[in-house]
Amino acid sequence: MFMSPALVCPQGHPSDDIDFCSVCGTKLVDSSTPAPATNCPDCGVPREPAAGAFCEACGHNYDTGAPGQLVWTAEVSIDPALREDGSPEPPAGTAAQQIELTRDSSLIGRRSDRRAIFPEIALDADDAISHRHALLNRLPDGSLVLRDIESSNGTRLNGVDLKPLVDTPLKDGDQITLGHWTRITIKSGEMRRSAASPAA
Amino acid sequence: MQFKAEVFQNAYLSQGAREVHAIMTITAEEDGSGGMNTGGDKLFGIICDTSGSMEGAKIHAAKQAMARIVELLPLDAYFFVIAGSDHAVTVAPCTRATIENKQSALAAIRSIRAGGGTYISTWLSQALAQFDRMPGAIRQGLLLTDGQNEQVDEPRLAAMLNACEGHFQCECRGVGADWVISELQKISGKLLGSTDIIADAAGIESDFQGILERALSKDVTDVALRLWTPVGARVLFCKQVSPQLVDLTQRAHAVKPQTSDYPTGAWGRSESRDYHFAIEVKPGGVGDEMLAGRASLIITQNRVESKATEARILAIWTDDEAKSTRIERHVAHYTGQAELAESIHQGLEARERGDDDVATRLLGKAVRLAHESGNEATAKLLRTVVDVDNAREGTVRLKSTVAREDAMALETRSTKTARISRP
Repeated sequence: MFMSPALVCPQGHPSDDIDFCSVCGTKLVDSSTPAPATNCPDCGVPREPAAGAFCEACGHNYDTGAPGQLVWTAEVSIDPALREDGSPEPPAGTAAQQIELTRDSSLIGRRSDRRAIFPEIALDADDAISHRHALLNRLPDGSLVLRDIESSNGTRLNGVDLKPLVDTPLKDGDQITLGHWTRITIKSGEMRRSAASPAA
Repeated sequence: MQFKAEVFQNAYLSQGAREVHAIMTITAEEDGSGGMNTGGDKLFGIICDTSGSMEGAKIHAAKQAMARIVELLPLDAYFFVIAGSDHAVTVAPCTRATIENKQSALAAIRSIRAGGGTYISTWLSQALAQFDRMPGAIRQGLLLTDGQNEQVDEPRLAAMLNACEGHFQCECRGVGADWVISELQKISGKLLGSTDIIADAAGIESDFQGILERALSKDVTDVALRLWTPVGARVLFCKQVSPQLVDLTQRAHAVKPQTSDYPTGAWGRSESRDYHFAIEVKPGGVGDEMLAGRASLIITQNRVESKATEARILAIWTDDEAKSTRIERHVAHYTGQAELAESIHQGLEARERGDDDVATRLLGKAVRLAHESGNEATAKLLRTVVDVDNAREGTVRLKSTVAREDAMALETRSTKTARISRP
C-alpha cells in the first residue's frame, strides 16, 4: 500500500495521525485560521470541520462546489429459477458480482471484440442477451434510469416487460431480469463524495 | 453488531491547568450487518463451594440452583460444574449441553455432599483448565461460596488469580453473611465480574438464572479499551462508571509506549457502558489545543485485533474563566456517583469500628448524594442502615440494630451507579 510521507508536528515529531501529533498530541491543523462554520449549500447540514472537504450528509465538495452523488451498484447474479424450457442450463457455482456504476452511462450487454462492444456490465455467459442490450443512465440529479435499447429478447423490470427506448426510473432493490437466467439487482448506495476531478 | 463511542467533556482548561476529565459512553448495537464475528460458542462454568459450612439448607439450595441452570442451558451452549472444598472435584467436565450430557450432570449434582475446607485457589485452578479447553468461546464463570478462604491458601489464590486473568470472567456470590466482601471482590474484580450477597439460600436459584441470562446475552468477548496519551502525560485513573463502578487504573496493560489496554470483557448487543478518564497533561498556553487522549475499542478474535470505534479527548487552554470553570454534567454526575460509593464504604467502616459520628456524617452524605443523583436503588439500601430525617440535607440517624446481611448488601451494591438523567 502506498504510504504518504509522515507528517511532522510543530514540535518536530513525525506523526502517524493527521489530526493530532501521535507523539505529543499537538493539533496539526492550523488552528489560527479555523474553517468557518457554514451550512452545506446543497443540503443545509452544518459543516463538520473534522470531515474535511466533504459534507458528511450529502457528499457536497466544499472545495470544488461539486454536489455529492448517489452511488449506485448493480449486483449481477445467475438465477436458475428464471430459466425457461429450451434454455441451456445455467453455469453452476457463479458468485454474484457487484458492479459499481461509476459512469454516467453503463451499457448492459455482451462483449464483442469484432464489433468493439465492451459493456460496463458484461454478461458474456448468457447468450440470450444482446451485445447492446440496455443502458443504465445516471441523470444530473443523481437518479438512475433503465432503457432497453431494442434488445432481441427484451428486458423485464420487477417482472414487467419494458418498452424499448423508454427510460424507467430505478430505485433501491429493483430487479432487472434478462436473457436466459440473468438477474441484476439495483442497489442505491449512500450519498458519496463527488469525484475529485471530472476526469476520474 | 457494531460499537459506537461518544465523549462528554469540557475541553477548556485555565492556563496552567493539567487535569483533563472525560466520560466516554460506549454502546454496542445490533446493526444487522453481522460484520463482527458474533454468536460464537458460549461456555458457562459453575464453581460451587461444597465445604462443610455449606451443610444443610445452603448446599440443598445450591444443588437445586445448579440443577436448574443445567436444565436451562440452551442445547448449543457448553458447561461444566466444579464442586470445591479442600480440593476441586469436576462434577461435570466441559461438555456441550445436550440432553444426555445434562442428564449425567444432573445425576452428578444430586450426589454432591458437603464437607471439608475452603481452598479457592484449587477451585479456580480446575476452572481455568476447563475454560482453556475453549479459548475462542465466550467464557463466563459463576462462583458461589459461604465462607472465608483458608488463610494458608491466600498466597496461592493471589497467584492463581493472575493466572486466570484474561482466561475467563467470573461472577462471585456470597450466600449468608459469613463470607468476606473484600475477598470475593478481589476475585470478581480481577475476573471482570461483580460480587453480590445472596442473604437467604432460597434466593440462589433466581440469582443464578440472572447470571446465566446475562452470560448468554453476550456476543463478543475479549474487548479491550485502548488509550493513547501524549508524551509526558499520565493516566490518573480509568474507571468504568456505569452500570457499576470498576476501577481499571491498575489493570492497564502497556501495548507500546504511550498506549495501554484496559480489559472490558464480553459485550452483548444493546449493552451500554460509561468510562471516566482522568489524564494529566503538560500544561499549555492560552489558545493551545492538544489531544489529551485517543480512546478506542479493540476486539481480538483469533489473535487478530480490530478497532471497533474511537473517540478523542481534547484539551484547549483559555483565559475565559466562564469556559474553563464549567464542569461537564456527565463528568459531574459520575464524580458524584464515585463519591457516593466511597462515602458508603468508609461510612460502613466507621460504623463497624464504632465511630458513630464519622459514620453518621458519611452515610448522611451518601443519602444526600443518592437523593440528588436519583440513585433510588442505593437510597433504598441506605435506609436499611440509617433512619433518614431529611434526604436533601443528608440528615440521618444510625439504626441501632442492623442485620449484617443488610450492611453487606449495601456495601456490595453501592458500586451500582445511576445513569445520568436526560437534561
